[in-house]
Amino acid sequence: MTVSRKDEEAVSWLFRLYGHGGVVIEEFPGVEEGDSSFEGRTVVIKTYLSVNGRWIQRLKSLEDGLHRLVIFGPLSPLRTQHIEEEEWAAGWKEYFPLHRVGSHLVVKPSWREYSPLPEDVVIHLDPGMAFGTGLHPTTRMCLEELEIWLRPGDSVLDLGTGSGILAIAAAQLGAAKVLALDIDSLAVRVARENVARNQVESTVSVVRGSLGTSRGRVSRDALKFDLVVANLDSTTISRLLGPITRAADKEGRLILGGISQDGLEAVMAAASSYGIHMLRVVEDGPWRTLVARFGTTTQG
Amino acid sequence: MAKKVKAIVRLQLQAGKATPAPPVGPALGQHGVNIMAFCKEYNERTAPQAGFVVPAEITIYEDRSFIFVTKTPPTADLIKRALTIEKGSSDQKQKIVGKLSQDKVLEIAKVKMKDLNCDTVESAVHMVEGTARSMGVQVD
Repeated sequence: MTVSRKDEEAVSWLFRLYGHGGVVIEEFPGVEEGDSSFEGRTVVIKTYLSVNGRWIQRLKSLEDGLHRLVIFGPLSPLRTQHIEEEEWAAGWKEYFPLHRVGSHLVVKPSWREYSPLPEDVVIHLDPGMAFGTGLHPTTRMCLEELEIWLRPGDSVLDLGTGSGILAIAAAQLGAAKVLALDIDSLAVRVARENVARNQVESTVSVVRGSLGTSRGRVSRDALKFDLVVANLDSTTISRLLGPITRAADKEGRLILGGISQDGLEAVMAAASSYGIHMLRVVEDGPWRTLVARFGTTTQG
Repeated sequence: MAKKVKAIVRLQLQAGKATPAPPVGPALGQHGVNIMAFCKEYNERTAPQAGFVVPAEITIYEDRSFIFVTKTPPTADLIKRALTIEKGSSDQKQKIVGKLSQDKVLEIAKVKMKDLNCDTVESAVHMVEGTARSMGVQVD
């Protein structure tokens, strides 16, 4: 819907109330930075409704809400458009190349062709709408560290698995058992598809939940993880360090990603309060990846 | 020399909860922006404000690079906070969920002024009143 800036807040509130996940407000292309001539012009407000949900009712409610607003001044008509997932996904798929990570890992988007070399460890991936393409520095660093620190036969916990990329990499690198958790049901679905795509179903189980909520299942598996990998954000990592420590083997290894330069100090402080011993910090731009070890160390 | 701006996109999202699903995916994907990079940075910056809607204004350049800044919460959220109501009325005609005093309207208008490029306090006040009405909130 195209609206003037003065109506932006009122209309975006209605869009956020009935739409999925939030609201998008677009301004004009083709302006130079610092050019303020667009002020006072119109903006386009968008939201998305999932056709799987009760979208007809939601659209009706949105229209009713807008109708109410019309009393305070004319509004342009609401436009709707049906969008297939492929349509917008195609935009970024073009920029998702096959790429090498670390010494032997190759991340292969499912829509690209590749003939692997003998030494290659190939991860077949379609991230869909979940996190983890291996292109972002945080994921790439986690993959590199996995390749270094994972030992064949390890039991691995992947917290916030997203597309499942790290869990699958762990399985391909020789882990005996991998538990991949994510609180997002969409990520769980995508991760399961990718696990099947790589034929590692017997090694990797993808479960919806976090350490707190899925503890029953974790303990049933009677696992004390040899290696925990968590590519999240510094706030969430700091919060989960306690449960992670309890879930890990007392001599387990830990790879933490998604931490910014600014968030590093807080994570380090939290880690040290749990007796976690830092082995190294890897940097890429503003991002930091921590490799650590639990329990008994020369310092412990 | 200033880089050529391709688009300016504002997203109203739950702090720390950006994912590549809609609306973020389609909104940024159409401009070729690295969706993961945005989500990761947004979540890392806003996770401490979990539970609030934190808008982000993303400037996308012709070369697909982007920068973003986070903004003040949406007017509707400031109104809700002022009235301590959970959500607006689902039926604005039938139900009035609260009343907002002129003082509160002015207070919110002043908070929002710089983000909205409103020229005058009056225009910001009108904007706040309009949003309040859309929520089923009466202005006294």
